[in-house]
Amino acid sequence: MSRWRRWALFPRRFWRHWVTLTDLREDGTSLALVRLLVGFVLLADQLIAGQLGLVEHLWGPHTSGGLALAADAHPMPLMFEVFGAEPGTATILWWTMVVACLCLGLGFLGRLAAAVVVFASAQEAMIFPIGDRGIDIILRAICLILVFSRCTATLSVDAYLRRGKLHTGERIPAWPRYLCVVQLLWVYFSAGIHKRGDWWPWRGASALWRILHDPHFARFDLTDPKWEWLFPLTQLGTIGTMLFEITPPVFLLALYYQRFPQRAGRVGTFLLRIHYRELFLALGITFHVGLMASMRLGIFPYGVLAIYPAFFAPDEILAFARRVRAKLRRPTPEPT
Amino acid sequence: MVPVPRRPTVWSHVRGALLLGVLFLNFCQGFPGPQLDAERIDRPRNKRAVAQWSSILTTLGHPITPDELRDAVLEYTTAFNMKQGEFLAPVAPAFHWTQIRQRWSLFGSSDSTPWWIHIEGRFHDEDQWRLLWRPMDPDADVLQQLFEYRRLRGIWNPGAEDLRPDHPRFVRFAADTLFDRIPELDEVRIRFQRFYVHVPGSEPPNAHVEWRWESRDTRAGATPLDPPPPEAEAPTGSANPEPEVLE
Repeated sequence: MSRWRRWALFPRRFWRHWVTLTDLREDGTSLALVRLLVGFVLLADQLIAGQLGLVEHLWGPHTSGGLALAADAHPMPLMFEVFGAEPGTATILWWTMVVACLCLGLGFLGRLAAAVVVFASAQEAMIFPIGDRGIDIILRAICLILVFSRCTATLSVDAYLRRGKLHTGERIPAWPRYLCVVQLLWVYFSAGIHKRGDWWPWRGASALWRILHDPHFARFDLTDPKWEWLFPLTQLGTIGTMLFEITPPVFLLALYYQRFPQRAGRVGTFLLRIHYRELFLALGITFHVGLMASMRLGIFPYGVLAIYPAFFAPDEILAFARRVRAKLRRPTPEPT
Repeated sequence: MVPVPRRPTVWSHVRGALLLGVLFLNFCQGFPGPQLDAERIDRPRNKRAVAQWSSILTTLGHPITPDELRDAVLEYTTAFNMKQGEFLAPVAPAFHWTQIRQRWSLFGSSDSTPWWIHIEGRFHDEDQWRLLWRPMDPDADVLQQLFEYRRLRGIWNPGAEDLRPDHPRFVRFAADTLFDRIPELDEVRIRFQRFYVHVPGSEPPNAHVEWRWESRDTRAGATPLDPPPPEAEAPTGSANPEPEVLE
């Protein structure tokens, strides 16, 4: 077939592949884990706000001690329109969010719960925009994907009520999991191309060093000169972060070749040989665990890691679970 | 357990088209267009960048003065943002009601002179201010958990050159909470110290102390936010450097 003919057929071939890809079905374990972890991370965050006594300050009107001016906005957020700009509205919103997050985590009325989480979290964002951080937007986007998925097909109360067992092995559309992956990769990529100045090697790659010194985010005081030996390591970390954040397109390529190894050319074979996908995920997990240890970013690293099960095919997670179970069940050898 | 391909139905094609549309719209919404206006582009650091680019373009055979480049960039930015807004207008309500945006800037730039919040209190019959809380200080940890809650940090963590618009209400909230928890407290002061990050290999650490954005609150009521002092106090060390402007 001539090159011209191949190009002419590209749209049709692309469409066929796309429809096949979005029509694939798989076991629902990966997506169920995303649902479960995202639900509980969001729940923990709401409970912390409640425990600190911040509910009415964060989502109440400024006339009653609220921190934002949403009650003066035109139009007001829907919750204020419907229930009035009262401190009680903040409590209703908080309880809505708590119950919905709990249901989402448990997988009870999962799709409805996901829709309520999206709505309530968006209302919280409208009432107190400055408190709506990047991680809230990411998790809202993931919950919106879950609304259209069959995320409660397994590992959920819904599944237990329907089938009498937690792991049903039911096959569900795989595209919501793929969308979760694309969403997170886009977050990384977009963050990477928006980075400026000393994030780049030719500007000293000192960004991580500076951020780890920012007193509003740093977990440890590194101002003492005895910590200067860490500087080259943070430079390496800066370069690693940049590489990680600007290479998601390569990761997508690696995923594609892993799915269709027969189409792998020289580049594809190389990516498969070096286990690019596994390397990328290991770097990502290290990156977020590093953030947990070195910075105070609230739920950010936990929230992002909650989406990571989407990167793994259900059979990988099930095989891992089987290995762990077998290890736990293995009898301890008799002492000789 | 590998995903199982099925024979595509009409619904498979419809769903494929819908998903492609969703991805496309989200990509357009998150497309990294420039976010500049006259105020931003005239900040010292951006002015320097414009001058650099103008000399680069002139060297490459496209003579252009910094002012011409500035105007061209602003014109292009405005046109781009307008077109993007017009294109996304039909789906804007969906982005509004879900409050989802696809433009991510996580620690887009690092600050070599970030601000450091200090909350101090004055007790009955005392002239001295006592430090109650500041981040990263284990000896000043009054209500640390509360103040460091991530959603609250958004309100007190200032931008490079400005406090957040909601800051006055944070002052009132912090003072009210402290008065409530510490009955002996008479007055609360919140102010920000410039923190100099020393990068190894660069010039020695700056010993100068610069305070900004001081606000006070008493049990009787709030004192309005002080304007930034014209001259920062300089008890020790080098001259006060011109603050770096970071976007």
